[in-house]
Amino acid sequence: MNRRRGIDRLRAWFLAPAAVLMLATLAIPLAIVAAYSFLSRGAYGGVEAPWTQENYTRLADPLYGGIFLRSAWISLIATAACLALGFPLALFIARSGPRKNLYLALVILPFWTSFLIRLYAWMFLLRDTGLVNTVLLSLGVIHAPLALLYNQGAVILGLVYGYLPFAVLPLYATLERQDPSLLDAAADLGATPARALARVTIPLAMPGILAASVLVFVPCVGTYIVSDLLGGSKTVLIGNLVQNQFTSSRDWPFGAAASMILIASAVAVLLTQRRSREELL
Amino acid sequence: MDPVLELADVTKEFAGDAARRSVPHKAVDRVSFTIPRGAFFSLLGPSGCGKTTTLRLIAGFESATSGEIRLSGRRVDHLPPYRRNVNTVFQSYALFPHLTVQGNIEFGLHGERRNGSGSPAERVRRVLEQLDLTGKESRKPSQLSGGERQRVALARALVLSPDVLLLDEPLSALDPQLRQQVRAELRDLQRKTGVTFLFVTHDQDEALSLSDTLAVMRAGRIEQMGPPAELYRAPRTRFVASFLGSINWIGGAGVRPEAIRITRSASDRPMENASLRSAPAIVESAAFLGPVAHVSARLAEGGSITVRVSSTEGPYRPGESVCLSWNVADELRGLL
Amino acid sequence: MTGAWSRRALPLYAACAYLFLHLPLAILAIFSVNASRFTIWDGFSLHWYRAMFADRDLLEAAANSLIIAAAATVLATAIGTLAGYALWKKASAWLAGSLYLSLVTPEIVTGVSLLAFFQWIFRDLHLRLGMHTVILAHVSFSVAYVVLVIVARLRNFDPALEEAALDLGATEFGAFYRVTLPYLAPAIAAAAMLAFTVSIDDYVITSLVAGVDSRTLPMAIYAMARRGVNPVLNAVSTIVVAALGALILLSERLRAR
Repeated sequence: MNRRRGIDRLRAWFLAPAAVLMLATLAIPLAIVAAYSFLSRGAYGGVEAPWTQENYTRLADPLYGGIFLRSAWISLIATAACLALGFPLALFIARSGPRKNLYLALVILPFWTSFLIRLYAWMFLLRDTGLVNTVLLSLGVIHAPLALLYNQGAVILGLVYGYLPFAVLPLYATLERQDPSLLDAAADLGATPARALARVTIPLAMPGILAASVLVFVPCVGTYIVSDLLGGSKTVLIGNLVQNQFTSSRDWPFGAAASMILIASAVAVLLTQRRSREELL
Repeated sequence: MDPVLELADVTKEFAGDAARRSVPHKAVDRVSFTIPRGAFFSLLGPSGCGKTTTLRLIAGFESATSGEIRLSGRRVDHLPPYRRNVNTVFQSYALFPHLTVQGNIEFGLHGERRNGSGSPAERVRRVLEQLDLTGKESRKPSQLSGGERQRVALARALVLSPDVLLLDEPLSALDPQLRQQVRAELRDLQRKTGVTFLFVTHDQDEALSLSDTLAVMRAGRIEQMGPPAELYRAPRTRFVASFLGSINWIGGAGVRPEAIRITRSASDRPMENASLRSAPAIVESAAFLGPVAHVSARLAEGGSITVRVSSTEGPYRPGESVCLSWNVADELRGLL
Repeated sequence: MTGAWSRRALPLYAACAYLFLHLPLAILAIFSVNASRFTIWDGFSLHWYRAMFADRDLLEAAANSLIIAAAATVLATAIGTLAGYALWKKASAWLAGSLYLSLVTPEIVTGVSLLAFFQWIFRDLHLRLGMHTVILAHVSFSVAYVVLVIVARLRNFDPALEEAALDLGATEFGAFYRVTLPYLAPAIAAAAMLAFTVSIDDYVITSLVAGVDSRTLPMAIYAMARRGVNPVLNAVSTIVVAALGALILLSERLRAR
């Protein structure tokens, strides 16, 4: 029994810092937000009693309903685009043989270097005085700059650009693990490559496809900077609403209630994506 | 006898694990044995019989549910591995990849175990010589051959002068050609150093050829224990009889294939008397194995018999009528 | 196995996809050395870089970012390595779950929740938001990335090595320190670089919990981007992307070893 005690003691010490950190910076703050969502707005910002459900009923107001619908709709399109664009790329990398790691690195690289700067790059391209308009104008294709920026389309583009690698990685992981002899068997039994793709590769990759969609959808729904930089004042999403309530509007309880929607979606991911979580951690 | 290792009624029960779909079971069930100092003792059995778990209990990686383990008279079952004077040679050798051969061997000399004589440098030099590793001290494990790696694993353990050296299927990772040679080297090493070896294996050839004492395990229990020859010639259970070598069952008695003689025509049939048995049979198949052939024949009353014949006697063709005979004295009866 | 379609169309598509991913940044780099402040090429010039280095506020923001990232990296790597090792020895659903939650929670939520938390405890402690709150926030969201890298590396580690160490006389901590830690060294370095990258780039959370004196580089970049055309931003972007890119490449190299 001494053996167990020695391991357990070491393990407890090693886990303690992380546990305390997560408790203090994740669990408690989220609990505070949950609590605030049931309180009332304070006179000078902040919160005060009484406890109320008003914030949630206010969320149901059609004024805000538009924000939720817009966020969900944009995120769905962006997720679908990421899957559609990412799957063939993941397929290419998985089948690329010895150069796999190079191609994978080429996807990972832009992803890990400044998300912010990558969005700015699109601002640079799409502005009225941006590169695209300048080139089109000088070529005589158009006579007045196109309004490419500050609309929903730009937000979707920004989301896809930002989160495409997020989709490619889990898709690649699933495809890479597939037994190549399955495709040989399909060919042997008379399936064309297209048929094999549709009836073998894609069905087998379903868990990875689901994981990728969830991994893209949730950050899209909760995005803030993409809509703030590329969407202009017309595109207010849940993230913008939350930020707004906690800063300029100073209505923390309402902002907290809106946050709870996002927290709920994150917790839903945590609970349903058990396998991908176990694979990672 | 100077007992160096004693197990008394040792049991290890594992709780069920829903995630891994295992039920609660006794991996080791009231196992008892005593090993005298300087012996070569083997635990033999099929996979899952509990022999590796027994080894791990002795080493200290598992705690026994009940029973006692004594090392040189002292109870050790409550001690962690680093306070027991036993050492293990792992199946995969588990050499530390970031250390050289020298570093690996020296590792234990900087820990909790401080017994044995001589300075660390002297002890390392001595064991390097014993295992023919001088000149390879500064190599890393990745630069060694399979056989060399095994010798480093042995050296690393022996340098600490353990009371018992535990070997977990050490030959299974080697090429078949190498195995015979290393087997002989292990036996020599054990005799030269005089260290008590506890050897765990599923290979009966290894166990039979190396051991002073052999214990056959099955489903967590020791079925029989004793010198190899005794277990082979006088098995007490059907399992032991069929696990060591092969055996035919005819009419409630067991007969080894090499004890059966085969003759061709009915006219050559030997006379049956009190000390001889015979039975007619039809040849089913004959497998040529170089110096010997295994002939499989079906008895008139049913049942397949395997006979080992020298290949100069053959060939026997399927469908041939033959006569099998054996001495009553070679029959094994009364097995559990 | 792969038809003609996949042999030609797929690589062509992949090339387009890579172009899509990398071209925007490449264009920024090209225009960072454009003499003109407009999107018309006017000759090669480095004066945007000179302007960048002359901007006091920008340099101060960059310095803040480096300090914060360095401190957060050291702490997150230490905490994450120990936690990752402990989780590998025996799983803990609660800790693993909260680490995963910290990864999937949208940044805006993490930011406002930390803001609310700090305001709540600071009321009685007479403290303010500043570098320390930013560093704490950064440690919080970086730890999960470190744990991921460490756990991934440990998956390829033979547990028999630790048993061998115990067998030879090392204590549990001795086995960790003398056998497992050397094995983890490249992964720890890779994880540290990853944590550094994640910290340097954070905008949303930092902007919410930073005090007046702790402006970071992303905050400066964000303000510049919102304000409109600013060619200095091209120069800043190019340098940041190049530096972080090199760091990530190095980190991947270490991980693959």
